[in-house]
Amino acid sequence: MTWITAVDYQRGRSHSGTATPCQDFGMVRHIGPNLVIGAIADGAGSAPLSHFGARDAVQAAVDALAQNACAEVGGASEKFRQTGKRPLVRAAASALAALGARASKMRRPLSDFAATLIAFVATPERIAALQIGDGFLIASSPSKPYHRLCTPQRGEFAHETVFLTDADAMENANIVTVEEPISFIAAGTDGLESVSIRQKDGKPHAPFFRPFDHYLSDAREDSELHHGIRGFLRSDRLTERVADDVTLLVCGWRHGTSKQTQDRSPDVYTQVATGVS
Amino acid sequence: MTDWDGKAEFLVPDFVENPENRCPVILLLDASASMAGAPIEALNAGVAAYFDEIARDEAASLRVETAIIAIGDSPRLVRDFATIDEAGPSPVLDAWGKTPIGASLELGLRALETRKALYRAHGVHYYRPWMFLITDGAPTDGILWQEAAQKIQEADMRRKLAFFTIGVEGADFSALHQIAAPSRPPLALKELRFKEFFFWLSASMRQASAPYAGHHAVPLPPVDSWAGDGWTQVAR
Repeated sequence: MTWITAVDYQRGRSHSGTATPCQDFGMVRHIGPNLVIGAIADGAGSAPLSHFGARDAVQAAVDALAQNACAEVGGASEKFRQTGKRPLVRAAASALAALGARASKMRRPLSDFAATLIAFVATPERIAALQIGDGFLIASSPSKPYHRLCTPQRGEFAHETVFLTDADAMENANIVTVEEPISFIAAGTDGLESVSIRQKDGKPHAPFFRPFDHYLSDAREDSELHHGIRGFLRSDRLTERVADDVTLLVCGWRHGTSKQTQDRSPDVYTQVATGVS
Repeated sequence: MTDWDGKAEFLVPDFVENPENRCPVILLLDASASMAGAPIEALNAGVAAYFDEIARDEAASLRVETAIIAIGDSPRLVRDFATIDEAGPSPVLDAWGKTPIGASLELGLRALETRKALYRAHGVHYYRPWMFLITDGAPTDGILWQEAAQKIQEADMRRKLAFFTIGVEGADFSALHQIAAPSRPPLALKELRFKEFFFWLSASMRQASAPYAGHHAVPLPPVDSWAGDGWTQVAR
């Protein structure tokens, strides 16, 4: 048994006719056979350098989680209950520090790099997760249907949200630790929420996620899952419906090839840098 | 090596049907005695043309909800918020009575809060409401208008709504400047160019309700067809 994981992101047609690159980014990483780390970020549409912000935040969060995740999340249950949130707090702090360093280097205000952030570290028995801003992080197992793990933070108005760069972001961040069987995880940015989450009660629309779960049952390698996600994000069906940038990260606990530590972001597959020099 | 090209076609997630995001706009229109004759006729024709333009735009017709308050003697909600297909025909205003701008602003705020509560109860997302005040006179309801104006200005400053004021010929611009949002001074309607104003309003609402319009300030079309130099954009 192992985690099969993949993430991809796609620039929205709302940017067509502009020079704005995709402002979403995501990364997922295996740590040994049981642990998986992931993060996604959605750069603020109005922030001119938020494509840097999203990428730097995700990279820093994943690196920070990789340093201590094994001990604090993969260890004894008692320790997880006491200290399981700490890696996520450190991940968010690292992400913010990375944006600060970039802002300083480029001599631009921090707000130019504004981005949301969702990050998690999971085993098949538990998950610790953080959410700043909008987007979704859901999980399921054979005994528990698709459910949200973190509460998104929104403003009053459509598309209004909070960002990692806001002064009170850490105060309002939603950080959770959950001990339950986990066999499926999906994280997505705001662009995908309109088609996957029911607005009236905020709950995941199961028929959206079920095909990914079934797809995973045949997948043996991460690249196979990635192929499916990539095809979906680029499909006419989705792009006609959603104009925003979209990111989708999926993990499934399945029979598959045993893994060492491996990084998965779309760049690994395509070898193409997307909008960041 | 497995050929996964065919496999990708079988990943067809079902999309949930969520309600369209709403763009609420409320118009406070002077229907006092001084508007009798050509002004109220031009105003009514402009309102009718506005609803025609909204109906012609696919996104706007699903998203824009327009309420109208007639300012005259006692202010009345002559059209409540509704999308174009849910509401009846364009209202026709009669000109009579005084100009209780304060009471009209209060009624407008209450109508907005009621609609937002309904949106929240049904999981409908909405953009920042826009409120327009169009008058050819001066407020006649004592200090009520100053209190109401303060509330609206604070709401505009806190980005809870975007407030626009327009003075028709004969309007008391000194009072209008005290009512208007400090960041958005009142504009003077040239002659009786209501048709041009309402065409501009429908174009602005089409911008605000466009599918791509989620994250950025809404650029406003030029106002020179109906006013002097004016507003250029509205923050989301």
